[in-house]
Amino acid sequence: MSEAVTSSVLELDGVTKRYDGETAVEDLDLTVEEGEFMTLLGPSGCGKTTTLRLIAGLEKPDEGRVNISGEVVACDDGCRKPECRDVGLVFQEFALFPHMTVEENVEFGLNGHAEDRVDEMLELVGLEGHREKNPENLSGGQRQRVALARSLAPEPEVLLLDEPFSNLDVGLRVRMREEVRRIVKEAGVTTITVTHDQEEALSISDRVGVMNDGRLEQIGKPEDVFQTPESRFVADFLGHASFVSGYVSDEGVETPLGTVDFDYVEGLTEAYTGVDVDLLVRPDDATALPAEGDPDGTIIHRRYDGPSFTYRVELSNGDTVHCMHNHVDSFEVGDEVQVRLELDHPLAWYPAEETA
Amino acid sequence: MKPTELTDDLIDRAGSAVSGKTEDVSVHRTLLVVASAVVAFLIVTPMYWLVSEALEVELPRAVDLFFSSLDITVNSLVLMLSVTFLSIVLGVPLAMLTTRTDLPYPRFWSVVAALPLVIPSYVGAIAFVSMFGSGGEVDSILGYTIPRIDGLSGAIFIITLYTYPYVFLTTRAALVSADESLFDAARTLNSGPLRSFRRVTLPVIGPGIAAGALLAALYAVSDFGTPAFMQASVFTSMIYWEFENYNTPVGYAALLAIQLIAIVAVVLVIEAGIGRDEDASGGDARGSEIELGRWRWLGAGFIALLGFVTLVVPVAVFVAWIFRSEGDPIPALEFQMEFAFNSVYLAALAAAVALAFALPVAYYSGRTSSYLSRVLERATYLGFAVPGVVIGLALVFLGLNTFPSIYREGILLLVFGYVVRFLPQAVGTVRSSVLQIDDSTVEAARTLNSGPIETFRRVTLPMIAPGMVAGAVLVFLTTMKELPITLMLQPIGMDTLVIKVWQAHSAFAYRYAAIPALALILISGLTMLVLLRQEDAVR
Repeated sequence: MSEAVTSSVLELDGVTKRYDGETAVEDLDLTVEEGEFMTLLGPSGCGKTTTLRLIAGLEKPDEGRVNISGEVVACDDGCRKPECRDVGLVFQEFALFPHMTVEENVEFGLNGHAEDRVDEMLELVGLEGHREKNPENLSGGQRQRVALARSLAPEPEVLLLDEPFSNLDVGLRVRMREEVRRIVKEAGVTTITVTHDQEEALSISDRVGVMNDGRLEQIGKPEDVFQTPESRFVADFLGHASFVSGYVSDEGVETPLGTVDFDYVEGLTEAYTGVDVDLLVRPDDATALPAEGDPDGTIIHRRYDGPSFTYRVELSNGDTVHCMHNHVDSFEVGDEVQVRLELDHPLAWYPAEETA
Repeated sequence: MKPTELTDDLIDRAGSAVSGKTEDVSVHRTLLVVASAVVAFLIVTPMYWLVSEALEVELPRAVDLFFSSLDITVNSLVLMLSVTFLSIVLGVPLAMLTTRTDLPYPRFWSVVAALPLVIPSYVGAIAFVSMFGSGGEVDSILGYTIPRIDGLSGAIFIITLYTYPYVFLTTRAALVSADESLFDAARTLNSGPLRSFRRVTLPVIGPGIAAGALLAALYAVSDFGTPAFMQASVFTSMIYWEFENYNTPVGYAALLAIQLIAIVAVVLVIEAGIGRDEDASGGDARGSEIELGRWRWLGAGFIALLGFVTLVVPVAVFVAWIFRSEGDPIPALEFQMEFAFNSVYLAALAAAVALAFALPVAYYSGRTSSYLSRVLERATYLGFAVPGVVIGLALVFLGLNTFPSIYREGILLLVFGYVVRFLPQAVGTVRSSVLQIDDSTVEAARTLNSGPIETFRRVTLPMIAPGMVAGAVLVFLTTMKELPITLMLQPIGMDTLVIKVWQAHSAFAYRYAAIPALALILISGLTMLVLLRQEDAVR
């Protein structure tokens, strides 16, 4: 390992966790930099919450090592207890102590009386006026703020958030995302959250790690992970993925929608000539046009969500493509259309699947 | 806690708003109210004879008696408080041990720790008295005198052994239903296990501990058999000795009974003040466990020892007696199937009557929430609050003073005594199954053109049938074990299992208690099974 590692606050090295023979987390490597806001994204049961609990010390890894601020806190030899780790964890259902007021909850992790710190935290989360209240008298958003303040009060090296927004109403969720990001950035704490909501992960994180079946499939900046998913799973999980099958020729990829030049296919070269591939086409990459002459396919479904329409088009070879349009373009189910690829960035590709 | 009452009120109001169109419903309603009121009245009346008897004692003498019974009061309070304290000391750590630690086979050890409930404490008492009492087994084996298990301290010891499971079970339930992420949250906020326990776990499970402690307190102060076998002078045993020694009991026993009721009332008021947290916020996720390391074997060993002392020792003692034959044979105590038959017959009658009494009260109070329904329901819980020996005494007065023709003649008064004592169990189980019926289920039947009676028969009744069966079985089994009411109201010549245990003890011929005692343990074990199944059904 190089000396540059010093700026990383958290390192997981080959961490594996099994429950009764089932592997929950497998050989996980992860490095998180100081002050970074990082999100683990994945479907339920992918091991993301277990990863958080391993970092917090609520579970012990079967293999591998966990370092926090350069100190080993879990390895084969032993495991440091959660109370000795400088890690804060905001639980999915907040886990506020029901028999304590807001103020007492925030004070809990501080040694002795630390009025100033409590004041500071309550101010940070905007709850100065609620200090004497009981958690049960707070709204969902307020509870989350208390949980956040309580975890931040002891100045942890790492803050962990377990599905932080899943318990909030939809409208509140979007507001709290921004709010939580503001608070942790203001506190300057390194933060790891886990979620199954791709929109949430993409919108608030500095980096996103996509987990599947106990393994980390890809990690990177949100836009990189979204643009160039390294696997079909990642492409699919980040949403609205359609795959158009094609064949690599001298000029590019021949698809039912025309030939796509090598310049517009990420990392594909003539060396692949003769191979069958699938191109990842997201709804904003394709546009449907009224058929003039030979149609490419038929509209089989339409979804209207206010600002836009998304059409599902079945192509003549059986593939389906989603096309996103602004709300004025209108087709009906059954209309025959032509589909144009809007090539303003390289598309990702994958080797063709057997079944296709 | 109040939202259900609120909805019920709304439903009530909605009902009354359209009452003009549903006259038949109000007729059924009236019948239901009248039936409930009759049951409540019958259950409460015996207390009138107790109070009137007590009032006949002139005031100066009553004051005299009050002061002369101060030592009994003190003994009773010492018994109650010690048992409660010791039950908490035993029950809470055991609950923690079986739920929050890495103890191996936690379910198995939970069952072992709860199992002493299977043995009626007086059966345990008779086993220990015969072993460790004056001239008991251990003395004769060792050839010298060992410390006694008898008197007040003996009663405290025995009752604690068979009552701590109340605290264990309620605390365990509180721990299991608590949101375990609270405990984990405390750990991630830099609190070690001890501080987490004191600042978070204890406050969260406090109501559960209190509920169990109050049950233990009620049981300890009401228990008649154990202090009687241990020769401890507390209210229950003194009331019985007064009754027995002066065959026509004087007001003194009534005064003692009223003092006992006063203590029980205080406990119940405290209980009402605590209020149960019924909407437990159970998190599905299991939290992290406390690691005991090698200490867990010590924990398992301790539970095993407890199980050995409370279960294996008494059963072994009784089994050993079956094969002993020293002492003069007492033919009257020889076991006969007739005793078991009498027990079963009386218990079956009590169960049937209790069920018939419970149905209207449980249905009315389960479907309606009004002041009247609550009062009527609470009235039937009298037997839960009033110790068996006091109910027995009240019925003795009723028989002697007003209906001498049925006192100790025929089984009417005895069965009625059982019903007063155990009706709460039937009302409780039936009512909780009535409460599980969703209003919309009944309403759905009504919109499908089924009338109120047809709806009751085709929808409600099948849904509450399991609760009715469980209630009847509970009354049946607990009646078989009831000691003081049976002793005081038993028709002459009709002996049952518990009567034989009592007589064997009185004659110091313990071997004759063996078969009836083992039968009682078996019966209690069945009770436990029913309770567990009922619990599963509710879940």
